[in-house]
Amino acid sequence: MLQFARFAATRAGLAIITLVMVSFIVFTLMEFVPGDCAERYLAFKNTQGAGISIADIENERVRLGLDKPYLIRWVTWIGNAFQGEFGDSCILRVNIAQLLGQKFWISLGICLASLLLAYSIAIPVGIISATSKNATLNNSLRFVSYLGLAMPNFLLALMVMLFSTIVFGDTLTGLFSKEFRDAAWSYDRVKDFLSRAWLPIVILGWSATAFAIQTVRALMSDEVGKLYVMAASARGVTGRTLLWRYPARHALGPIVNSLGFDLNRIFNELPIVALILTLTEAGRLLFEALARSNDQQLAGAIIFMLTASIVGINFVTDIILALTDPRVRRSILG
Amino acid sequence: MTKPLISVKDLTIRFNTDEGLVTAVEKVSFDIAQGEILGLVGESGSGKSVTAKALMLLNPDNAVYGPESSITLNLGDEQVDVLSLGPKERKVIRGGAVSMIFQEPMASFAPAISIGDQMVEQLLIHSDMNKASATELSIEMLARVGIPDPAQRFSQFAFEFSGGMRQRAMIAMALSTKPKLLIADEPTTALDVTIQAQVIDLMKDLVNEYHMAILFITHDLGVIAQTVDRMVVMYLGTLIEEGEVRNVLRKPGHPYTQGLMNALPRLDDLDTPLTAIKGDIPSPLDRPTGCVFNTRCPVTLGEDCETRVPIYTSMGEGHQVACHLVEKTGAPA
Amino acid sequence: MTDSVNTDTANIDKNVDQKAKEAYFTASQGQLIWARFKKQTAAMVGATVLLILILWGIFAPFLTPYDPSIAGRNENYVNGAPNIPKFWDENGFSFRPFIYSFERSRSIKTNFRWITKIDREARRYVVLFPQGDKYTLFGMNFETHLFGVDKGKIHIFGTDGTGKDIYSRTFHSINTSLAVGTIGVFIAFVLALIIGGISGYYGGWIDSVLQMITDAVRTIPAIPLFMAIAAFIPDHLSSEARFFVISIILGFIGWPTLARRVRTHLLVERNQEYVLAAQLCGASAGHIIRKHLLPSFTSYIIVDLIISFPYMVLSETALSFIGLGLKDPVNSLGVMLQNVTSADVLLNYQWYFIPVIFFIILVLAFVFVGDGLRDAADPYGDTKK
Repeated sequence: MLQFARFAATRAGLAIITLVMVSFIVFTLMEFVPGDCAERYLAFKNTQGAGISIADIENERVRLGLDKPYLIRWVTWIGNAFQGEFGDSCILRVNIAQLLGQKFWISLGICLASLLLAYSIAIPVGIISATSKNATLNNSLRFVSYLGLAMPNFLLALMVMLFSTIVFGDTLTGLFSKEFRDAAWSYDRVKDFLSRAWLPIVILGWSATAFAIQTVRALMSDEVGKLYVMAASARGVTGRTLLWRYPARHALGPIVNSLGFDLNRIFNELPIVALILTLTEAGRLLFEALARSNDQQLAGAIIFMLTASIVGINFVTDIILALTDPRVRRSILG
Repeated sequence: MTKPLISVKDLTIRFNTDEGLVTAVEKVSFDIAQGEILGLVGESGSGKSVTAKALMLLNPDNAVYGPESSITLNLGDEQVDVLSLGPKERKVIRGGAVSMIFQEPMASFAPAISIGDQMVEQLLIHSDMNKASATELSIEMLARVGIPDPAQRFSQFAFEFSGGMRQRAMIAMALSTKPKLLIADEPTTALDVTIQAQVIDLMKDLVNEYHMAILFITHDLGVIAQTVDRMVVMYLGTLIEEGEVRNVLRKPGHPYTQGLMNALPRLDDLDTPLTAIKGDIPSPLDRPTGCVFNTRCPVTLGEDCETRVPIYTSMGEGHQVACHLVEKTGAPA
Repeated sequence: MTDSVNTDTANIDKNVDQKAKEAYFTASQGQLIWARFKKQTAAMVGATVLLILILWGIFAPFLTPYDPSIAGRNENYVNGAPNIPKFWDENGFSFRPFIYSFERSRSIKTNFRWITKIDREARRYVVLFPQGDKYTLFGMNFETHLFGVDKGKIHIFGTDGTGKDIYSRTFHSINTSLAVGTIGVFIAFVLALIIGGISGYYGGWIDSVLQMITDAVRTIPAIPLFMAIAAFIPDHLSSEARFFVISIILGFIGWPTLARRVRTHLLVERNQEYVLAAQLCGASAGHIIRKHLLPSFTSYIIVDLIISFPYMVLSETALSFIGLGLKDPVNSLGVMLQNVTSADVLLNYQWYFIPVIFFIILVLAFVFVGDGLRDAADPYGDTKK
């Protein structure tokens, strides 16, 4: 037990180090933005007619702590980040944590749901296709997975939009209907959300499903050819037990491993799909922060949170793998 | 005379491949008596494994069995026609009356399931024991094959066993259902010589104890000499010689067997160069006509050997040779 | 059983066989891979399609009638529907394909929507090799295009909001996307080779540190990160400079996956017996790397490169689509899709989506070729079936 705790602690430590490095990269990139928060904000104010002077900019800088050296600012930022505090958005002057708040968790929820959807389809389909000799089935699945690669989520979203506009005369966009957008969570709000969220979940899950089917299939094909499967068959094990207990169980290990990376891919698609479907959540916010307002505080915060989620998932999958794969378990416990 | 435990007649196996129908085994016939150890000798690729797997219907789906082939398992009152067993009836030849152990013990155990779980699973399939008695029996079997601390080993995994112990565990698992026939496919090839000896001794003890027959497949003549009662020699999917092991090894009748014996390095004469059998094993797509060995035979009789397939000629005491030379002259080369 | 064979033909067969066998044994790695690749129909189809598309892209200026940028636009036919050439209508058959003349008008009565009145009596014939907009190909200036129309302009895929011919833009954009992809892949490849190579060859703590860095970069979702970087490219950069910057950034994001592959492969291979054998023969490290290690994974690397191409193209498309990537007049599919989400377009100008089809075909072709290469390059591929 103690050794397992030690293993978990080591993994957690590694995760934190990764996060620190990521924050370093993200923060540095934010630094490269020409002009800093103070200038940006005051330029914004300028466009609204309020006159500013250099002295104003300087004062603003001091107020935001932007005159301190780089390292100190980074350490402060990351210290706050770990507590969920990201300071204030450059342009909007609103506390980032509040701004992101629900939106981020909704985004995360949608992405995780897509992942779940993808694998609930891919695992049975992949397993069946690996063990079936049916040539048409194999070829069509191959084609579907190719299509999943060639037509990425945002293209699919575009197609769906096109289709729904022509056929239904309506664009199925937005995560909430008007009345529920800023309301507090309630049962009705959940229902409304679910009735509209299924579309982004399916669209985001599309590529992930195609990939997952290919992965599951390849892993299963590899396992099915191995000697221990024949040995089990030679002992009289048949049918579904033979399939699930032997090759499937062993093929799923690498899949657990790759979940974090799959989430990474889904996060990639999120901002663009969100844009197309006009969802109001973190991805869209990111886009606006970057494209419209050049708000690097907000952008940095969002990227950091996204990466933190992935690191978190990697940590969880590591632990799961340690618990379920006896080889890993034994090597930890010694 | 009691019926043989398993009787294979005219077994012909072809595989449907992209290059066409490839013959792997051609008109193979042999019997194994109850409690007998039969050795099946041949080079890699000679069709030994395919034959063995046929006894348990473990060949892949593209295997085509010849129409006259038959494999009959005699279990007391029951006679089982193996080749006509439907998918649901195959339990008897898979872990029931027939068990198999493989060359690579590490690769034959599922990596992530404990040895004990796999043993118990097999017992639950083939008997109506409950889990507790199955566990007890499995631990007993592990002890019987000489594994120390069997209760602890029961819940361990294959990667935690050493090579020799894995093979023993494999034997324990195969024998827990008390099969009548154990097929051992190159069981000692992957083991050190000392461990080899231990495993062979173990198998002979168990044969006596369980009155079980063994089909011992190998390419190692030394192991054959120590272990089996009778032996058959296979070349390119055809049986070319059979008999008691002493007779076949001391006075080989077929030029191929003679070649095999001559190719063995001799401890008593360290300076003699090794004599190999000239030529290469033909590709299965290129099966020679007539006697399969004729393309490499040093004493080929020419056209006769190239056109007619030889049948068994007896050299006495159950020693049979499929060779035209022996047939014509009554004596080997 | 086979019948007894006529010995004469058997000898001839044996000779032929022998030659084939020898050719097989002495073939180089490249030839072997090509031979295996040829056998896969899907891959060959993909390769042919890819080749056609690439050539089309390179010769786009000649093959398409108009300049894809603002300079070549047709002010009279903004947001115009595709003109499909016909051979035959109620006025008779014509060997030369033709389209109809039309007039466009709009007024308050039509809510300022363009109304196109087609004049079926007045034909405009398609001509071959007309002189048209100037373009530069391989450093030389030309004016001849493959086809055009005797009066006015022909727009096979229609036009967009400013009157630019979509057909011309599509094929020019293939070129652009491929170019961006190539540069991006190249940069990713060089980086991956260096970092992965050092990591894999030396192992130890160098490897651990480099791996942590690689993993950190790999964990950051690429597109959000890219969005962040791209947003900060100064607007005043010329479009060509912007093009290069985008490609470089793509490459910088793409190297971690490739580097990991290189490193894993090297870590495994450098412990193989053949490396030890070479070392025992006195080979230097450089020699071992060049002659033994590199060829062992050249085929995998090539496959990886080809497979990462579509990702690069897709990433660039996605970014240009949201406006953070390439901008006018540099032309790519993403740029072409920029205005597609407005309801107006969706309802009325569906032909804006035609380039998407070509794009999907291009990516599919890459994927088929990559898969086929992967199967062909794997020396154990046959046995895995």
